[in-house]
Amino acid sequence: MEDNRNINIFLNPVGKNVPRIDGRGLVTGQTKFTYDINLPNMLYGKMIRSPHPHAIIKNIDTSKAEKLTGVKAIVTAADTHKIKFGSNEFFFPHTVDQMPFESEKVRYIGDEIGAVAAINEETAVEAVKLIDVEYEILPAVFDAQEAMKPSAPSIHSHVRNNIGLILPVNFGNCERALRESDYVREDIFYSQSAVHACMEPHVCIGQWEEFSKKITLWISHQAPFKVREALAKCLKMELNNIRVIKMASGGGFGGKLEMLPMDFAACLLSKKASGLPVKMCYTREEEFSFSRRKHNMIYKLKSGVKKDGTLMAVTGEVIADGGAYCSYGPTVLAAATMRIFMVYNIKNLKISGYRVYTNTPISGAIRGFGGVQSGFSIESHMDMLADGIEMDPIEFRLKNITGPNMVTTNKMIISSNGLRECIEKVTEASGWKKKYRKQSNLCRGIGIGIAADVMGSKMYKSHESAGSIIKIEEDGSVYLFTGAADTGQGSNTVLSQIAAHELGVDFNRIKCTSADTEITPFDTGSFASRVTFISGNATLNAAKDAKKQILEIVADEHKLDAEILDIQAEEVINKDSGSVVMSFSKALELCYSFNYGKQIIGRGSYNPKTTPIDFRTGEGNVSGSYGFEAQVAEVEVNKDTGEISVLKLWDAHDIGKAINPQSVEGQIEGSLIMGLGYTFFEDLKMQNGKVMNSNFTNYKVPRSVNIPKMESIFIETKDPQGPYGAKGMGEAALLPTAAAIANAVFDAVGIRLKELPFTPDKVIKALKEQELNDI
Amino acid sequence: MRIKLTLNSKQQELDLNGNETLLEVIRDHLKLTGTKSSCDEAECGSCTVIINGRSALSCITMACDCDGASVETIEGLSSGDELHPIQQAFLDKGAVQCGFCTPGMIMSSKALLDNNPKPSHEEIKRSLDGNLCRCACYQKIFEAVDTAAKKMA
Amino acid sequence: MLYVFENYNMLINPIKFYRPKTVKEAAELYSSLESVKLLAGGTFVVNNLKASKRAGRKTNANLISLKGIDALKGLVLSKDVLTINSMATITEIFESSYLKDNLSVLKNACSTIGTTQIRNMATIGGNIACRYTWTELPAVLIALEATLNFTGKNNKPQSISAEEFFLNSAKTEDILTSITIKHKPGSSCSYQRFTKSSAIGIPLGALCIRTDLRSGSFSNTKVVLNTTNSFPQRDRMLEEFLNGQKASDGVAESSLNNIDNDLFEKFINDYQKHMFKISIKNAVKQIIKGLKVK
Repeated sequence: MEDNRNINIFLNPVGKNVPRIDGRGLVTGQTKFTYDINLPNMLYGKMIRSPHPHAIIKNIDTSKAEKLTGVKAIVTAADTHKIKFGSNEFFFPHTVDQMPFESEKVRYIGDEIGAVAAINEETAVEAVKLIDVEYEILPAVFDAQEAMKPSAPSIHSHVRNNIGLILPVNFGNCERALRESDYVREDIFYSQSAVHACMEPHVCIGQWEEFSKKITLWISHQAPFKVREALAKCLKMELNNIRVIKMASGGGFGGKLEMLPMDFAACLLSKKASGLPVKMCYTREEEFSFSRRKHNMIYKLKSGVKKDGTLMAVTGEVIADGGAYCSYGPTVLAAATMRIFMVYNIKNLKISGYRVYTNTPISGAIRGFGGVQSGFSIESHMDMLADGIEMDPIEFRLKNITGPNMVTTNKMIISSNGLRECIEKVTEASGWKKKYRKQSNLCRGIGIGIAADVMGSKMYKSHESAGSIIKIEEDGSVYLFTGAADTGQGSNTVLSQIAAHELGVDFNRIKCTSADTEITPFDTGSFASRVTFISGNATLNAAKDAKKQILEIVADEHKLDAEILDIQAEEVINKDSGSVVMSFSKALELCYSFNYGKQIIGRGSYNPKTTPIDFRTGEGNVSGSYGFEAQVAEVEVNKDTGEISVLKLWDAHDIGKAINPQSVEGQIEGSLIMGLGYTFFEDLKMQNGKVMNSNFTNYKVPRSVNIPKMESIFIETKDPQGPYGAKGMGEAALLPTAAAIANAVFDAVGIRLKELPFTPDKVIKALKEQELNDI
Repeated sequence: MRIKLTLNSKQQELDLNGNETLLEVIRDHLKLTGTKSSCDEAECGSCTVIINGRSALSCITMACDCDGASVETIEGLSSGDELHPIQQAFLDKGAVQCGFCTPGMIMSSKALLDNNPKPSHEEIKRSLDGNLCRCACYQKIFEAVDTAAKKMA
Repeated sequence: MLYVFENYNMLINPIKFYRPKTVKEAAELYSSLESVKLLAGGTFVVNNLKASKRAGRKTNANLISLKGIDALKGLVLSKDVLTINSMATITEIFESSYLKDNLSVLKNACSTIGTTQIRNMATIGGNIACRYTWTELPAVLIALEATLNFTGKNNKPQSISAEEFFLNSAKTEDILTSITIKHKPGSSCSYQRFTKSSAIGIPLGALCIRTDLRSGSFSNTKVVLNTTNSFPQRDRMLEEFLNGQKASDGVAESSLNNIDNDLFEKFINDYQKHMFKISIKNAVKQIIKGLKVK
């Protein structure tokens, strides 16, 4: 990283390593996270959960719990309008399948049927035990393939064979293309379930104000406006009577992206407890067992290539285990099936995706959506195809990848595309040519995986615009109000950098208030790596608007044309002559002077140029911008113990432009390590619908001693739509990691690993099988 | 049970029932919320404090056992506006993302540098093996600790 | 916002906390109180107390912390005997300069226990007494022919060999005060462990082999195997084979033909069996390398 000492990083801050705007509070421990807040007379809430994976609710008797001293309120479905909510309502209305509290049926162990508020947590826990629920137990199904059979118990009455969603992607003539191929192969890949394991568990504080019938919800969340929307819908309230305030959040990764019953509970309990605030916080066990998990997938692929390396057709089937409710299932499935078009320029693709209900905890969005499971499957499969025609994997990729300024088979419009350069740069940086197929005597190998990601997508609403407001005070201090939620990825800082850069002022003037539904404009949320591109553009527009208002006044005062003026490095300058007209501070004084008296309030909104996806076919331009990457892994396999050591990971990433290079690197490294964890040891184990490893002792996440050497390479293609050319960065780096490692293992010892995670026992088993086959 | 301990260089006298963990006393009784509770089973390191010069998990330390001990929390590091070199290095090197693990990470780092002012890269990695960071800032955290060590030397 | 905190949440059931200053005081309390638990480092007991409260289980009414007893702290090397007092932390043992020759295997074993904070808090006494993470130290203590010393009845100290303690159900009514091990320059040791994956955690299995060098050959060899939640086992067949073998290269390979198969059949899965064999091979190799250097 550059040495910042000699450059003033606070002037023209775009492209510089500006430290986190909210960092001081974090390093001193002074920032209050939601659980650190205590309000006067606050109560504590706990959820009432089903102990059965599948049952009909016959009766709920809360009388004993009500009598317990210290219990202040109990809510069940009877306290709601029984309106369902979901996360993909706009495109898939039939996937809206979850109630705030279930009253008829429970569908997984942990399914929420109500909540209790009491003067402290242990009383609430005690009260929950006293709730008498009469269940009629139903047969349950825990495996997706079993659940699809006609004989399986039906989990939701509105779907058949428990298939919540089918996404058929079908383009070209795959049968003919396969017939015309010189080499065809079939493979099946298994990806396991995993969890977000954020350091901060789910937590919220709800408060009901009786005289105004208003809800205030303080919450750790990635999408507070989504929470507000669900509250408004299910509680039949107006949007402007619900205030959702995002607090400092200890990580999200897709786990804090939707409405949860606990959020309803906090609000409704407060209402029933005469407006006393109610805090609800998941224990670590609840966090593992009852929030959201990754879809475990079976990915079947059958593809054909020509001898010259042309990829003729990719066909297959994806079976995703969705758990008991739909959550972000459609998006996950779409990401798992349609992303291929962003990476490979093929005409013939036929993949059927099935999202299947099972009586297990709910599968939802988790960093990468379905792209991690598909990245592993497809990139391993591509490597095997290349190997089948004895072609170098890099050469094979280069022959078939997408390029800039093209429209894909399914009508995605790709403008800037640095994929070729990513592959070339990562090949060079990793020393690929000297290592590939040359280190097996040392049991070392090198492998590649490539991926693409959406950086400015729209998948949820008729509009998914982001909005920002910039308010400049009399003394020149600046407020940036943005709807974008910072859950640690640094969006407050990046958006403030964009605001300061465009306004032409010192970064330290900016104070950022984000994701408070009463104060900030709407923003869909922090997910799908959309914030820099979409919210960044909204902020850019707001800054442009504010600057325009200032310059119009300066122009009027000095009898100049406003078009020739600009603000740069704290000065209003005449662009034509290069001279300084006045300082920014003086310009502000002028705006707020007796004669002009104009309050400078800049507004900006941005809606990416996309077309809705037709989910019957998979056609549509889902995103305003696409990001690309190529990743190389070098590994060493210990044939005795089965351990795979990752010697180094190189990731070359087309990010458009790095607004804050240190933050971008942090996101890449963070994703790589999460990918590493998923590849080697993260595995959510369930038995008969119950999570068996619901703690950090038994669910392993990467620690400091697991970190390999990593190198991030930025490819700055300057996206035409992105703010200062930026596309964004959030999750893409973990998409091809498992495949890059799997391919490197093949180079090292000649075995193909098709089942995640790659634990040593699987490696030993594969080596033993290889030995038998060789005899 | 009445105990006396030194907390962030100040003498504290506490009247305890006996069943309190140190984490509860720090957060709930003394209102120092910088130290976090995240896993409640001694696995994540968010509750790390320094007891008698060594990093320790306050969630499994009985408060009564701190009688006569010296305890340091994140609140004791900075003085006024001036940040401790480790805190400054974390900011400068981009070693903070969501910040939830940060107090624990900083305390583990301080305990390392107090006992070993010139740690190797491997020693830094190992000393942080009890602190989970899901944002996975690890690489930048190692760099921050290294920078702080050089500054403090 | 006002930070007024009422009705805070108890994580551990009400308990009477004792902090004696001497071993005698601790022993008297321990024998006189009902429903009592000893607290050493706390890495197991405190976690357990919290977990029990969450699960709604009853917990002990009394807790005796040994942390206040200075006589139980630290390590002492006197003549050729190393005394590790029971409240010595894993970090203190790991950092001790006394761990030379046969004792150096203790350093290896201690370095792999838990994480940094756990090593700073956990004690050797607690590790031995709680049986939770028995894969780390028991195999090593048996191989080193350690002696465990207890307070005994009427405060008369009692001792038992580590082997006898661990192999015979290992229960005691007394307080462990120290572990004594002879420092033997002519003795060679190897400690091996393996886990389910590259993530750190309690190992799937651990192995310790110790041998005395007599005229360039193995003698008085101990091979101790350990898996989670089971008592350590000695592989007497392998010990018999190794005794008398010269320290030469082929011994590691031929060891694999002389292991006790009945013992191996008890292990849970193929990978565990495979890894124990690899560990035996590596341990023998390491000892031979060390012996050759001498």
